[in-house]
Amino acid sequence: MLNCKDTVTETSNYINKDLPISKRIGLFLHFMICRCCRNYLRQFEKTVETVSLVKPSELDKTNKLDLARLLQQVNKETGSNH
Amino acid sequence: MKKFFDSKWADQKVLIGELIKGDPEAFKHVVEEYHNLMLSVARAIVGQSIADEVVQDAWISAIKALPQFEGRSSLKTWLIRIVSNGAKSRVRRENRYVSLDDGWEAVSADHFDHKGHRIDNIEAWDDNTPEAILANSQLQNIIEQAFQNLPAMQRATLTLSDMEGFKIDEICNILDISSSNARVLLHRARAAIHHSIEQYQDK
Repeated sequence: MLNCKDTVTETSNYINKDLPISKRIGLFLHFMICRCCRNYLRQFEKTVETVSLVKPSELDKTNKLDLARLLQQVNKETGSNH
Repeated sequence: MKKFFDSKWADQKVLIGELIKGDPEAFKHVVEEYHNLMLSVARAIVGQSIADEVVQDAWISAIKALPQFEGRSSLKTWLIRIVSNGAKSRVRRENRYVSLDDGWEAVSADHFDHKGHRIDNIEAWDDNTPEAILANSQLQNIIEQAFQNLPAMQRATLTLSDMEGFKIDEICNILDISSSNARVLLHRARAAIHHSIEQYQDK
């Protein structure tokens, strides 16, 4: 029988449905009987869902307008070489 | 600032056609849409210092190769492959080791008894929908901050998996890591963000 500590380490794989069936059933049964781990799982699921909505991204100082212009110039030169 | 999807460019063929024709708006769109994702991949593979250079080289290679792009994958996947290959070739001769921070714990060991059962009490969070959480700017800042504090490899794994929808085997190919490493990195990144939200909820 899985304990709470085992459950924590497999939470991410459980959410991704990325576990062998026997382990998945073991976790499912643990979540049925353990309110703390069930709450932890729900918190973890909400975290994943929230991150996908917040979409944090890399800090970056690139001037994207300048980069777009550079690429446009590269494209123009590439086209004129064909 | 959050990105909003411009439906004008929803059709990839139209977008690529306009890029080849040299439409400035199409260039602005692709740079805005994909640059940070490419940077995330490059930083994970080559590190912060030369990632900008690797990404710029990848952009130039991609634009030059655009007329040969056959559309067998999405433009996003194609660009990610180009930056990933470019970054990997930069480190090919180096013995890169992905640190998984041995001894790392999602939940501190003192939260469990000697049999591994929880001794703390995990309460359900306030029943906010993710959309309601989104409306909470303080919490958004906490998530952004927690994300920036993650190591580059965890940031890239989390971005590719949970924001861009890549599967674990695709992430392994992009970042040149084993599937067990990818799973561990993803779990650690999620657990760190979870921990930051948990601390906020406990206040």
